[in-house]
Formats: sequence, structure tokens, C-alpha cells
Amino acid sequence: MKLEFFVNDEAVAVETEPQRRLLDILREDLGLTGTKEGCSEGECGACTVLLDGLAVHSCLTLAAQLQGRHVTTIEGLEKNGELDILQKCFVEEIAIQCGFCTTGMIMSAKALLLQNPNPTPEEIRTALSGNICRCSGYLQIVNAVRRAADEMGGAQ
Amino acid sequence: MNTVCYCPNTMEELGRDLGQLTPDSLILAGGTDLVLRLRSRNLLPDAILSLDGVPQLREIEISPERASIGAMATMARVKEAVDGLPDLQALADAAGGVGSPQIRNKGTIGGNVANASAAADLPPVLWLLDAQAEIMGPGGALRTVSVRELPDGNQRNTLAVGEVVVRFLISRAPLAGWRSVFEKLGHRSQVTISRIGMAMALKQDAEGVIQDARIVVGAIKPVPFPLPAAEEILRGKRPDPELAVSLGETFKGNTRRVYKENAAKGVFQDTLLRFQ
Amino acid sequence: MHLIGTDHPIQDAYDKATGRARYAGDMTLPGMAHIAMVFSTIPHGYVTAVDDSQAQAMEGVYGVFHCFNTPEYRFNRYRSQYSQELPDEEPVFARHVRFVGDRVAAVAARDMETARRAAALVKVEYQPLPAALTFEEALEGKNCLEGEEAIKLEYSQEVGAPLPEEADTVSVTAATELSRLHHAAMETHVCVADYVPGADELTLYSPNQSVHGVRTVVADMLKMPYSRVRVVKTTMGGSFGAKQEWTTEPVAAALARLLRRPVKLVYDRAAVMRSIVCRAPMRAEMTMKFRRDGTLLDIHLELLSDAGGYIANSADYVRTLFGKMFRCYRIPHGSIHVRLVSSNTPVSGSFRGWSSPEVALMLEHTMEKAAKALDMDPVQLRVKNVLLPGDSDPKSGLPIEEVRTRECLLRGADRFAWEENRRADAAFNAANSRYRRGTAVACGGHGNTYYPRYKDFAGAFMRVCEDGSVQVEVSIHDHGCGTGAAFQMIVAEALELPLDRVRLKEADTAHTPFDFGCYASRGTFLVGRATQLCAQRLREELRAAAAQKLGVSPDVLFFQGDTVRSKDDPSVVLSYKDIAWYSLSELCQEITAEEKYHTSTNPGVTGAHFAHVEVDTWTGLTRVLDYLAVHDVGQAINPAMCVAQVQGAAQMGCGAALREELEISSSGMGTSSLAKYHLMNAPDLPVIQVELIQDGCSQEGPYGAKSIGEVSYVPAAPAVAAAVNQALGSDMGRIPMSPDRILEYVAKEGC
Repeated sequence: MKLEFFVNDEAVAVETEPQRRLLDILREDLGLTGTKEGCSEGECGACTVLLDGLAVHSCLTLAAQLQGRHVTTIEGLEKNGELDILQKCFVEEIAIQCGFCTTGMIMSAKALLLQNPNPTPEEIRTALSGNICRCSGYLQIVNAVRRAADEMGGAQ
Repeated sequence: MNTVCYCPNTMEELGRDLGQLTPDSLILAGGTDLVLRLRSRNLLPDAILSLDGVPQLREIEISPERASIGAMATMARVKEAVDGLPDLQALADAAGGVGSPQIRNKGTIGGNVANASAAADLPPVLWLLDAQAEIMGPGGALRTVSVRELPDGNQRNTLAVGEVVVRFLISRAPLAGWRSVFEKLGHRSQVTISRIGMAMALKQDAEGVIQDARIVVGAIKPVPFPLPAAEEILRGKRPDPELAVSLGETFKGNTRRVYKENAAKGVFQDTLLRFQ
Repeated sequence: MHLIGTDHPIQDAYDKATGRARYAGDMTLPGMAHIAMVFSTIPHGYVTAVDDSQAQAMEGVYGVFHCFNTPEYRFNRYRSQYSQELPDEEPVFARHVRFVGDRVAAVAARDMETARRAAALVKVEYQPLPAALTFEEALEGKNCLEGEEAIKLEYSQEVGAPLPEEADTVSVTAATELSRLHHAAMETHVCVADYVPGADELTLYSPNQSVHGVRTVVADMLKMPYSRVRVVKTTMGGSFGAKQEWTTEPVAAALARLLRRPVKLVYDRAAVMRSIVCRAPMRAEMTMKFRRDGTLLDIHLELLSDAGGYIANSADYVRTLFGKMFRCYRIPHGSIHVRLVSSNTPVSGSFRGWSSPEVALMLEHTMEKAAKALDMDPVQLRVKNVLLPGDSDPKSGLPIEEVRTRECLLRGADRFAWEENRRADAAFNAANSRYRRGTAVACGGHGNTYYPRYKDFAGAFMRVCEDGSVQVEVSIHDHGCGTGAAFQMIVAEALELPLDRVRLKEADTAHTPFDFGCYASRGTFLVGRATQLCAQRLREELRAAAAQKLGVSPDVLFFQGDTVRSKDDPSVVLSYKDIAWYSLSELCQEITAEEKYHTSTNPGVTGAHFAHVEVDTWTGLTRVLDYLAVHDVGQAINPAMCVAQVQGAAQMGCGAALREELEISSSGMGTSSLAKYHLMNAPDLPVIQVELIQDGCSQEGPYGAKSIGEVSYVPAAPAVAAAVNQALGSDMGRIPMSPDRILEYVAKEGC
């Protein structure tokens, strides 16, 4: 099928099979390797991207579901060489260790802050409940998201 | 062999495309279950029909008389639409407790029911609320059945080739005065597959005495089942959490899993506490 | 000190936050083949036929490889040193399959999807053999072929001399059984192999814990000169021991050579869970003898361990376990009797802590029981028996140095409001029929190198660039815990440079010095020490060159920040850049330094963890309400990363104690999905509090540092398990204490 959709606000057209996973389209066809595959079954959250602004698993999303839709990946957060506040906070709050969960974690956090700009730590933990980090106890991650919310609020 | 993709944009196109499907075709809703099946069984379908492009399938209309929920409504949207409505609260609980945020943003009510996993959370609730499923067949013909008739054992449904659920209808008039809740027990507090799913609706008088009760249990047998013995215990009493012990006894004989039999009283108590 | 002890993100945090960090799975090479594996679907038997005709016929398939069409390459996954005498027990493609997940065939194709689909078309026929799936079946020798013994290793060992029996000796015995664990590093196992036929050169890119370990195994297997095999450690998305043994590397190497083109082998989660490695299941019975006053006199451990399908590291693992028993408490006499069996289940292997966490579960379970038998407070019983400064490790004989276990226990008890919590739990439990709460402590110790089991050494090499910045070559393998940042800090500290003036290259056999690998917690302690000394040596080289430039004796020169000054002439200010450029242009010499260092110590490194849990006795679910870990780390190089690692260890420990378990079905299929292997997620955990005690510095580690990554995991599961037992008044020894096991206990024993 000919798939036409948007990735990080750019129009993309690819010839692909309808059952090809978004994860593979991103990583293999478009070279966007920031999205990671950790479990291939929607359990770890490493492959999280935004689909029309909502967090979804790119490993469970097929080409057949993407016609005309807008996908945002980790590569789409940085604007003009400047990190998204979330990315900056993840770095500065020491919320990154092995990094394999990081991009998916940031995308889930991004989706949360788009819907709820002022989440409590409990709401953050729920929003990240589908993202597994094996290196940490999640505390620095929660702190990073909370701080990003504060800084974004401060910027308004 | 290449897989054909049907991507209808209207109900008419959907009816037309359903007519093209064969037993080797797949209907794609949210994909959260189907993709796993595609890969683990290395399926190579002749066609995939994606329901993604039909806006009507996503529509949710809640009026005092009825709830109409498009099959492609995601768990997140179902939860948002009915949260806080006492008669439909069980639906919000179940939809809001499915998987992770990512799964709730993608998984659909229609997919959850059609996939017919024994552990699915929506089927017992839709049964509890006596929901009807509107089904479209090849050519666009519509028929309506009770959701009870949809499952046909674990991961099997009664839909014919080229049939798809397009929406669920719940009559709210018969639910007047009822409150419903859904509680589940899994391996962890969030993002967990149900080991017990409990949908309970109570009709209480002004003093809180239970006039009538309905209970449908999921994740125990291949399909949900009602629990009249437990309903009987509740009638005429207040929803006292201490009743959980005797309610738990009603699980005996319904499951071969000792764990589930023992844990039932905990789920009953959590459910009763919601009616406090 | 300007840097040591300050908080810094991991060295590649920026790239990881933007998705730019390149993991091996992100690599693409021209003409690269993608590999999909075919694994055994039976637990034990012979492959009698492989029909690959359909797969071969698929467009885009480069080849299908299996035992009937491929040279018999064999290796030992655990071998990481040239001198280790271990049998090449494992073939790349098995004919005799020993577990569900054993490698049977591989398909190489132009893309992953083609390879995956073709692999599904490979038909394998088996002649099944009787399989042993449990300890009992393995002990019976159910899977033994003619001439094979059920017990693969049996030995007894003791340390110290048994004390004469005293009249009032209190003897306590506890049975502990541990399940198989999955490491669950988020990055699965990957290897990209690039083979250049003309030059006969093989380059392997993989996240591994020992580039030289991979090299010795792969080069020997392919009978290639070591110098023609290059192994590059890539950004690692977690290991926890799972990437300390070689599984994808030998396979990718063999296939690249056979295909004469680059290959990429990526295991998915299910394949990792089935086919790679797990933490060994163990059964233990431990007896401790105490004097009435609580003084520990004697420990005996009866241990049964299961190696799984191949022996791999299991013989060494159980031998090491005995040594790890002596890293926390004063044990006048300790003895062990070990039996090792080999069932038809996933292969057991190294896991974070390398048997310290396992023996800690046995020790701490028995210690809890002893506290009750002696009617002593669990904290006080431990305080009475921990190793103290001045003591030696009775097994190795090495001084334990400035250990701070006692302080960890006492400070932890204070910060965790130990007595108040225990009293409040008792009141809560008396008033509740459904929920029970418990507060418990556990401690445990580990090492910083494998010395003196083996001799241990490390090297480092550095050079000063023309602009005065410094390039470091050292064979570190950052698992994702910040080893790289810590080493940059060590070098920058010694040279008084800003952090961004130091650049560090990770392990690459073509460029960095020989090293055994980043395991045994030897990274920061030993390789870090070599690196610190190398930086100091580099500084002396700078001083010597500066002295030549100035025509003065080096003795009159001193360092102030990153400049050299003269005691005799206050106007002299030479930057590193000035000196580097002078050396290059006038002395015709690059300023470099090399350090070769061997260790002679292995101090005590310990921690105490405190857990407060609530058990739902009606559903068996347990919630961790509160958690504190106190660690004796010596000087923390990068405290924030130490804290983050300890918190991660607590997360793993909570999971191990409460729910993580690779189960084997009656057909030999192991758990192969994260939907069924329940990791702790964010809502599951409380704020994990961490305190670092930093005044117990080591003599040898850089700036007094000791290890942290592995030791932090040692007391974690024992503390949580003990808290559950405390809550229920139980003595469960089966780990994990899953909801099912808790309800089974409650149904039988009440609570």
C-alpha cells in the first residue's frame, strides 16, 4: 500500500505492506532509530511515540492504521537544536542511566504534559505505568517530569 | 503474496469492503491484540481491513435514555465519556483499567469484545449492563445481538466472515437507580491482566439496603458468567464489606484455581467498598 | 577535590535523551544480512532433520544454517579468559538440543521481516529424549544419557575450625528456595558482525561486558588470530550480568564468516527470555549456631543448584557463592556442601551480584529465624555479628579494611524509625483482619574485584592533545550506570581539568588496553585506580616537559589548576596546551602515559536495606510502603549515579522478592513474555530513600572509592522477603513470595 502520513510534522510517503509495524517504518525505512524495541508486545513502553498527540506503542501500530495521521517521535522534540524541556530535565535530574527506556519514557511524559500540564507525582507514575525502567527506582524520572511541568508553567 | 489493505472511510465503504473478506482476512481495530497474534502465529492474511478511517465508528453518544458507543472508541475515550455516571461507572472502571495508557489510547471497545480473551475486562461489564452489539455484515446489512452472544470460548467469537461490530448500545432506562462498579485483581496495581474481573451493579433504597443485585465475573471461565448465588446474598442487605467472606464462598466450584477461589473474597470486598 | 563527590549525568545523557545514542541494534552496514533464529521447541532430544527448502526458496533469503549444513563451531559461553579451562560444550547449531530455546537454525535475509517469515517456514524434526525439568527429575538423572551422571559437581569445603559445642548453643535451620530470574535489561541481546574476507578481519559490535572475553572465545572458535578479531563494546542498554556471557556474538561471528558479508543478529524479548541466560534456581538449607548472647559461631550450607541446559558458569558460580558468604558477618567456622545438576531448562548464568544476593537470601532468612529463636531485635543481632574494621575476610584472608556495615545498620534503623515502625505494625496488625504490615532489615556484602580468586590487573593509556585536552583509552564497559562519567571525573580530578576537557574511549580491542571486563564490581575500584594513577603519571610527564621548556628542575614546578607554575618565578604560567605544543614541536614527543596496575586488596563493601510492606492476606498482593537503603561506598565518585543505581537495585529486589519468576511449564516452555514476567513499574514503588556512608574509604580504590552496582542489589530482596515474613508471622523461604504462594500459606497456616 502507499502510506502517506506525517512524521514530526513532515509529510512522508512510503510504499509498504499494511501489516508493517510503525516501529519498523520509523527505524528501518526512515532511519529514526531513537524509538526502541524492548519487548515487541506493548509491555515495556520503549517504543512509545505520539499518534495524533496520544502516547501509543509503535510496535503495536500497523501501516494500515496510519493513513493521514500525525506521528511524533523523540527526534521531533528537539526544535532548532534546542532540547525540549523534558529532555533537558531528564538529563539534569540524572533520570537517564542505560537510556534504552528513556526515549519512550520521555514520549509518555510528553503525552501526559500535553493533557495535564500540572500533574501530581502519582499522576506521573500512572502516566508512566506502561514504561519499564530496569535501572532506576523511577524517582529521578518522576522528578524530571515534575520539574519540566514547573518550568513549562514558569515559561507561560 | 501481497496483503490487500481495505481502508474504508465511510459506513457504506465499510459494508462494501466487508463483502471482500475471506476466512484468511483480518479486521484491524486498535491492533493491540491483533498485532501480537499476527506475529506470534506468523499469519499472512490475504487482506487487512482497517477500521481506522471511518469516523462514525468512533462516535460516543450518551443521553439519559441510552449510551451508544462506536466500536472504535478507545478505552481512554470510553472511560472519559462515562466516568461519573453511576449506572455506567463499571464501564469507566473497566476501560480505565485496561493495560497501560498507551494501550488505552489505542485499544478499542470493539476489539476488546471481538478478540474475546477470557481475561478481557469489557465483556463482563457489557454483559452486566445488558448491552447490545450492532453488527454490520457484508454489503452493509445490520443486525443486533446481545453482547452475551458474541463470545464463543476463549479468543473465539460468533461473528461470521465479513461481520464486524460497529457499535454498542446500552439502554439506560432499565438502569435507573442502579450503580455499577468494576474491580479487577491482577499481578500488580496497574498495567496487569485480570486474574479476576468483577462487574457488580446494585440497586439500593434510600437507606442503602440492596433491593436488587447483578454480578458478572470475568477472567475465570472462557466467557463471563453471572453469579446468582452472590446476588442472592446481597439482596435485602447493605453493602457491608464483611459480606465479602460469604460472597467469596460462591466462587467455589466455579474455578479450579485455588488461588482465584481464595482471592475472590478480596475482590468482593474491594467491590463492596466502592458502594460505601 | 573539585569534581569527585559532585553529581553528574551519565556521559551520554544528552544523546540518550535525544534518541541519538547509537546502540548496536541501531547500526546498519552496507550489504548487511539480517538474522532470524530457529530455536528448539522441545526440551531434550536430537534434531533428526531440518527441511529448509521453503525458507531457501523465499526471495531475499541469503541462506539457512543448521547442524546438517554448517561446520560444527563450538564454544563455551562463559569463558572470558584465555587461560580458563572450560569445555567447548555449546555448538552454534545444536543437534543434541538441551532446552526449549536451544539454537537449531538461523536464516539470513536481506531484511528482518523476510528473515523472520522464512524462519517460520523452517521445519525441524526431533527425536525426543526424556527431559528433566525440575530439581527432582534432574537429581534422578532422568535426562542422563549412557554414562552421564546426574550430579555434575559435588564438593564440600570449610573455612575456619569448628568450635567445641557449648551447652547452650542455639541452632537454627532455614530452608530457602530461589526461582529463575530474567535480567530484563531493556535492550535485548544484539551483535553486528562485519567480516572482510580479503583481509580475513572480523569486527564484532555488541553490548558486552568484556571485549577481550568475546575475542578469546570467538577467535578460538573460528581459529582466527586474535589480532584479526576486533570486538567493540557498544552503548549498552543494561546488562545486570546477562551480557557477561557470549551467545549472540559467536553466532553472528560464525554467520558473517560463512556468508562473507556483515550480519546483524537481534534477539527479541521472547528469544532472550528463552534462549539467553537466567539466574539459577537454587535450593538451600542453612544452619546457624549461636551462643545464647547472639554471637554467631558456625554456619553450614547445603546447596543444590541447577545449571540448566549447559553447565556454563554454574560450577564457578556455586564455588563463588561460598566465598561470598563471608563478606558481611564474622563467621568463625563456615562449611558448605554443594550439588549441581543440569536440567533441560534455560541456561543459568551470571546475575548482578554473582551469588552474593543468593547467599544473602539464605543468610538473612536464617538470621531472621535466629532473631526469633534468640528473642533478639533483628538489627541488634546483626550489629553484634557484622565484620568490623580490623577484621579479615576469613576465606580470602584479606583485610576487610574500613567497613561500615555497623553504621549502615544503626543509621538506617534511626532514619527508618525502626522501633516506632515495628510497634505501629503490631498495632495495625492487631486491628486488621485483612491487611498485615511488616518492617524488616537485611544486610549483605560483596567485593570490588575477584582478587584473590584470580590475579587481577588493569591498564590505562592517555595522551594530551595539542590543545591541552586529554584523550583516555581504557577498557571500560559502561552498562548504563555511568562508569564513563565516573572515569572522566577521575581523570579530570587528577589533572584539575574541567570535565569536558577529558574524552574517554570505551572498550575496543583494537584501541584500548587488555582488560578482563566490567564484572565482579572491578570497574571503578580497579580499572578506576589504574586510570587515576595513569592521570597522575601524565601530569608528571607534563611537569617534565615543562621543566625542559623552562630549563629548570621539575622540583621547582607545581600545578595550579590546569597550569604549571614555578616556585622561583611567579611570572611563569604554562598551560597544558603550551606544554603539549612545546613537546610536540620541540621535543618531537607526544605527551602520553601508560599505567599497568595490579591489585592486592579487596576491602569489605556492604549495605543495609530496610523495607516496610503491607500484605493483603485476602489476595496475596504485597505493597512496598517505604524503603531505605544505606550503603558503605567509600568515597562516592558521582553520588547521584550511585543513588540511582541503589534505587534500581531496590526495584529489582522488590520484584525478585515478590513476583519475578521464570516458570517452566510441563512441556519445558519457559515464561517468554513481559506480560507474564511482572516487573515493578512506577506506581508499584514508593520513594526509595538512599543514604551513602562515605567515610569507610578503601586504601586502593580511586580516591577511596568502593564498589556499588552489585552490592546494592545484595540486601534488597532479603529485606523485602523478611518484611513479608514479619507481616505474616511466617517463615516462608520460597522466593518470590508471589500472591499465589502467600495465599497458599495463609490458607494453610492462617495469619
